[in-house]
Order: sequence, then C-alpha cells, then structure tokens
Amino acid sequence: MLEVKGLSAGYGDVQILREVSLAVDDGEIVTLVGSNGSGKSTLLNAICGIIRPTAGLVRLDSTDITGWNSEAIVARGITQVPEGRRLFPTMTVHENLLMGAYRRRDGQGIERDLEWMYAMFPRLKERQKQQAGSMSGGEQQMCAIARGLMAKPRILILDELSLGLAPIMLDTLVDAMQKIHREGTTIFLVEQDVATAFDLAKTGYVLENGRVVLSGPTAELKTNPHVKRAYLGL
Amino acid sequence: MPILEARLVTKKFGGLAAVSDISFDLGEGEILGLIGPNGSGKTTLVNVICGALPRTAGNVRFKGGELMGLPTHEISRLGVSRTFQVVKPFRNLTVLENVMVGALFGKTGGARDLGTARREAEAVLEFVALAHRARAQADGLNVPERKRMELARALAMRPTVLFLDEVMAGLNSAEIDAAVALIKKIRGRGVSLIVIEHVMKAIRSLSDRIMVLFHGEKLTEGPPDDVLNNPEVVAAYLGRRYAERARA
Amino acid sequence: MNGARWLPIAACLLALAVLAMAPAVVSPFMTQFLINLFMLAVLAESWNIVGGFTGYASFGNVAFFGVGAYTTGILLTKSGWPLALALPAAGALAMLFAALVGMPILRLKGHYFAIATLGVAETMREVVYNLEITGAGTGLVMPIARTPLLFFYVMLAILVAATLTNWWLSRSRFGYGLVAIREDEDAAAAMGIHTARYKTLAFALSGAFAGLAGGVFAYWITFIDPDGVFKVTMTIQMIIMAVFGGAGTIFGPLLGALVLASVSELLSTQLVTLAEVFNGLVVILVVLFMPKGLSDVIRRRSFRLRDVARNFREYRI
Repeated sequence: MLEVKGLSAGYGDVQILREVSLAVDDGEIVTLVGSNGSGKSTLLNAICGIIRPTAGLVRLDSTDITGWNSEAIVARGITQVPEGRRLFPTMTVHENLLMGAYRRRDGQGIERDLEWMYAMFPRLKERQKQQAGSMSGGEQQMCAIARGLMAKPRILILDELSLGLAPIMLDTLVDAMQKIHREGTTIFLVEQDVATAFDLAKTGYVLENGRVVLSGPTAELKTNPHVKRAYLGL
Repeated sequence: MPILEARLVTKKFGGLAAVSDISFDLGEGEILGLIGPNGSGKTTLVNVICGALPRTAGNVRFKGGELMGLPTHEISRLGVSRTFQVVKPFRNLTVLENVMVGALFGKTGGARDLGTARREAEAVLEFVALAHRARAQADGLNVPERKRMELARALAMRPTVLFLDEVMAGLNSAEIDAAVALIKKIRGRGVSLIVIEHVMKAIRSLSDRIMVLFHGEKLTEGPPDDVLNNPEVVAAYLGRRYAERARA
Repeated sequence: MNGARWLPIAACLLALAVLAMAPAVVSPFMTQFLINLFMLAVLAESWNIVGGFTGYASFGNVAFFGVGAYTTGILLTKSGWPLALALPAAGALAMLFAALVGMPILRLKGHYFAIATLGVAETMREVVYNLEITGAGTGLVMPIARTPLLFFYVMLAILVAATLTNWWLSRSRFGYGLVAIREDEDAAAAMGIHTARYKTLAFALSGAFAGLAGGVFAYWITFIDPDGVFKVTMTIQMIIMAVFGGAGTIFGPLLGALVLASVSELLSTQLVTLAEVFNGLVVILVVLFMPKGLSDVIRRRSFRLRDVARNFREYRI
C-alpha cells in the first residue's frame, strides 16, 4: 500500500536520509526502528508532506504522492499519531476525537466509530469530558491513537508509541494495536523501543544514520547479533 | 538522620486527590527510585515538594527545616533542585548560558559574577559530557542532548537533593547506560537523588530503594528486587510483557 | 583587555564626542531633532529593560513618562525647584510609581499584562486631567530655560545612562535572571530566581528612565497637558523602535530610534500622509522580514531571500 523508494531528504544543507526504501503492504503491521538521530522523524516528515524529499519517491497504492502537501496526503488516507501526542490540550477528550473525524461527512459512521473507540478504550469513555491536557501520558497516548483512528485512515502511522509510558500502559496499547490491526487497519510503527516494536510487527526495517541497514521478518531480526547488541541491550 | 523526610503529603485538586498521605525518607547519598503508572501522582509529588504547587496537607523536612509553604525559588536556594519532565530550555540562549543561570542562582553561595559562573558552567558541562555543545543554541539540540542540558542546569545549582523526572525517556540502550553511569557519578559527589522513571532497566540498576505510587498512594517501597517481583506491582505497573521478558 | 575589546568602546566614545560637539556645528532645527531623537531613544532603551530583556511587553510606559513630566512641571512651577533637583525627583517618583503599579500587574502574563499596562497609562491621563495641582485640562506652563542647550546635553546624558544600564544588564547576574524569566518563568523560579522581585525591579528601572525623559521633555517643550504627555502613540513608537532595532540587545533600541525617527522626519517633510502609515508599515516589515530586529540582521551579516521565504512559509503553516 505504502511504498518508499530511494528517498533522500534533509533540512537545508544537511542531508539526513540516504536512499531509504521500504514497503508497507495492505493489512500489515510494519515497523521502522532506530535511535535518536537515525532519521526516523525526517522520514515521517518526508512521507507526510512536511518536508520535500530531495530524491526518490513515495507511493500510496499506485499514486505518486511525493512532495504533496500534508492536507492532500491526509485526504488520501494517511494519518499520523505524532510523537509526543500533540493533542488539543484545552479541548475535551470527546472534542479531540471529533477533531480526528474533521474531514468526514458521514454523521452515522462517525457515531459508530466513536462507540468503537470508547469500547476499545474504556478509560477514555470515563474521561470523555475531561480536558485532554490534564490527563496522564498514557491516557493522552490512548486519546491520540483514538483521534487518529477517527479519521478512518487507510494507513495509521504511529510515531514513538512507547515514549514515556509505564510498562503496563504499553501492554494496554499493544493489545489495542493488535485488535485494531485484526479489524483491518494497516499500521506503520516508528519506534525506539525495539522489543515492543518487534512484538507488534511482522516485518521490520532498521534505520541507522539515515540508511536502512537491515530489513526482514521481525522474527529473524530479533536474533540478529547486531540488533541484539545495539538495540535490545542483550 | 535522613536528608529529606516527607510525612503525609497530600495534594487535592477540587475533590480529586492526586497525591494522598505519602510518607517517605531519603537517606543522605541515597538514590530512591520512584515508579508508578501514568497519572499515579509522581510528578505532582515532586511539584508539591519543590514548591511548584501548594500542598493540601503534609510536611516535608529538609535537613530538619520545613519546606512546605516556601516559594519555589527559596526551596532551590536551600539546595533542592529538580529537572522537568518536559524539558524547559532557555531557547534563545546557548547551552553554556543556560547552565550559567544555574550557577548564578541555585543554592545560596554560588557565583555572583559572570566569569566565575562561566567557569563553573564549563566544569559541569565537562562532567555531563556536553562541553562540545557549549556554544550551540539551546533549541538546536537533539533529544538526549536536551535532557543532558536540563540535567547540567540542575547540577550547576549545587543541589543537595536532586529530583530527576524521566530523564531517560527517548534514550536508546547505550544512551541509557551512559545516563545511569552519570547519575551514579552525581551521587558520588554527595548528591541525594530521587529518580522518576519508566525505563525499568535504569531504575533497577540505579536505585538503592524503590517506592511505588498507585492512584496517588504509596503502594510499597523496598529494595529493587523485592519491589519489582512484588505481584501487586507487576499487576499495577509492570504488566505481563515485562514479567514475561524478565522470566525469559 | 586586548585590542579587539577596545574597538567598540573607542567607537562609542568617538560617537559620543561627535554628538557632544553637534550643537556647535549643526542648525538649531537639527539640534531640536536630535533632542527628540535622544528622547525617543531613551524611551526605547527603557522599554527594552522590561520588554526586551524580561519579556514583559508593557504597553503603558508612557504613564511613567507622564509622571516624570508632571512631577518636574509641578516642582518647577508650583514649588520653584531648580531642574537639578526636580529632574532626579521626577525619576525617583516615576520609579516608585512603577514599582507600586508593577507589584500587582506583573502577576499577569502576556496579553493580560499588556492590556493592564495600557489601562494604567489611560487611567493616569484621566487622573491628571481631573486634578487641580496638575493644572487639569489646561496644563502647565514651564518657565523659559535660560540655556536651551541644557536639554541637549541632559537628554544625551540620560540616553548614555539608559544605554549603559542595558549594557550592564547584558553582563550581570540580574540581567541573566531577567532573561531567564523571559525564556521560561517557571524554570527561572525553579532555578532560584525571585521572579516577582526581579520583574518589579526591571519595571521600576524602566519607569525611572521614562520618567527622567518626561522630566526633560516638560521643561524643553515648556507646556504640558494630559493629552500631550500621555500619548498612546508614544508607547507604540518606543515599542516599534525597540523591536525594529532588536529587542533584548544593547544598541538595538537606539539603532531603531535613529533609523525610524530619521525616516519619519524625512517622510513628514515630503509626504505628511505617508508618515502616518509609516509606523504600521514598519510593524509589518519587521514581522515578515526581520523578527529579531535590525541588529540581528547586522550581526549575522546576512539577509538572504531564502530566510525571508522560510519565514513566510512558517507563518503560513
């Protein structure tokens, strides 16, 4: 569904990404892992139209979306749950979710999806009327994911799902991600917590210094000695 | 005598108790780990102790003197410092200037002139291995550098007690090891620390004791092995995947 | 001190010497222009203390200017004090007034603070308008000065003092504290800075210089009334000059005053209507092209169109 080929990009004169290629097939969970400074955010910015790549292309299904601006890309069905959540802090949880459905016109569909979200995340239902900014980190993460899903995306991109989350909250979210995936959403997970990422995804890419250095089924990557040493601390 | 004694610290927002009857001691030169689910009151507790939020009830004695009721800047002048979970750099200043503010203010008795402050700041930056970025603009740093600058700023304040609020978030495995080593070095200089973290690897290797908060109350405290294997803690905080991995 | 450090100091002393000799060589009209310029520069530099360094954009500094003007006016006309005593009294009273007003008002942040300070200035005008001692609506007429050159040198001296104060701020512990407050007030407090005290001091210092400028102004203009002295356009001018030149820098406000006052003067002799639009145009210019002010552009020695384009795009997003 999502294809990235030979993508190079950077900021000003500094090149960060060097000919990155990856693919996310329909209905898959794919993960891209890497440390700080490896270029993960730059890659997402390039895919989602926040910066223009200097070379290469990004394709959604068969449409070339390279260099398109963000609004057009979101309209095509790519939704990102940004790093650090970026909720609307003074709006309530409910309002944040409605904002996720901003582009949609199907009132009944939106109602149904809201029910789905509250069923999946009962904590959010409890805090429906609470200001999003006053919730704890894990609850905010839940809200951000739910908001992303309200857009009914074809592909959901998660940027640093595990950042600042208590281990048990991560359990809840991983379970939720697996459920969402089973119900048909394609997920592209950009993560630093390699253990969690490999638990969730079947296919993985490892980014180092702007280059994809390893790729393949996560079951294999888990046993790769470089990965074990550098990322799993084993 | 413990350097910090908290007794029945409580903070309510309206009817909701964010922190309820928390009591603990911090020994001199000790590293106390503070863990708990998101929303369990860890940062609120730090905010109350450091004067950023007024308490609802309770006492906190630092070296025998009462902290509660004092404004934030006075608590810092006494020698209690903290880092912020969401770092607060002085964006338009350089890294060196950021740390100089810590040297100029912080615990009473610090540098009064810029020259001394600059030298002290440079020394602190050396200590945290950020000296190579001294002249960089604060808002041009990457995540681990920003965390280290936040730490450097707090260190420049010459704290006796230091609260670290999730300094490891966003760091990879090697960076976490480096941060743990650094924090142990800080303790070696005579600073007593309370470390809030979600990164279990770090908490386990750092803490002399761990305190667990849950829904604003103290669930348990004790040596790391006891606490991290406690079934209540696993259920409330660590979750089954952590337990599985720990067994593996 | 090595050679490089001497250069800027020498340059300043040279400029000062040149200015000091100016009245002897230039026309009386030019001398008057310079006095006005010095006054605006003092106001810009004084605003810089609270607006530039501390980050509290005060929209009411003209209140302290007015307090200074009226204090001098009353002491000169009603009590027969000489300027040498009346002027420092004006500065002191303006400083005290600023400290008293500052204590409650500085608890407000951002827009609320700006509006509150605006309110203070407007209130002062009304108060003065209604008091006997200030001559109410009729105003006060000053005694004629025997040495008109006095204003030139006194205003220049105040300008030097105001600029030196800004210079001191940039290299002192107090100044660092103010900048920390500007950058992140919560972090500043957590680092041991007594933010309330520091803010009030900055505000008082700012008011003191505005008051001194007002005191000289009163004697120079020889007639003051509420509308002439509590002009909101004066507040706007001092802010625009400081920001255009570079808020938070030492010479920025001075530079801004120099450039803008000169251009404004030129325009008003050529096209009166354009002069009115001028201030608004400058604001747009600064926001779009050089948000950090002229002194930043000079310092970076660059003004690439690419930077301008980037500013454009970032504001669009």
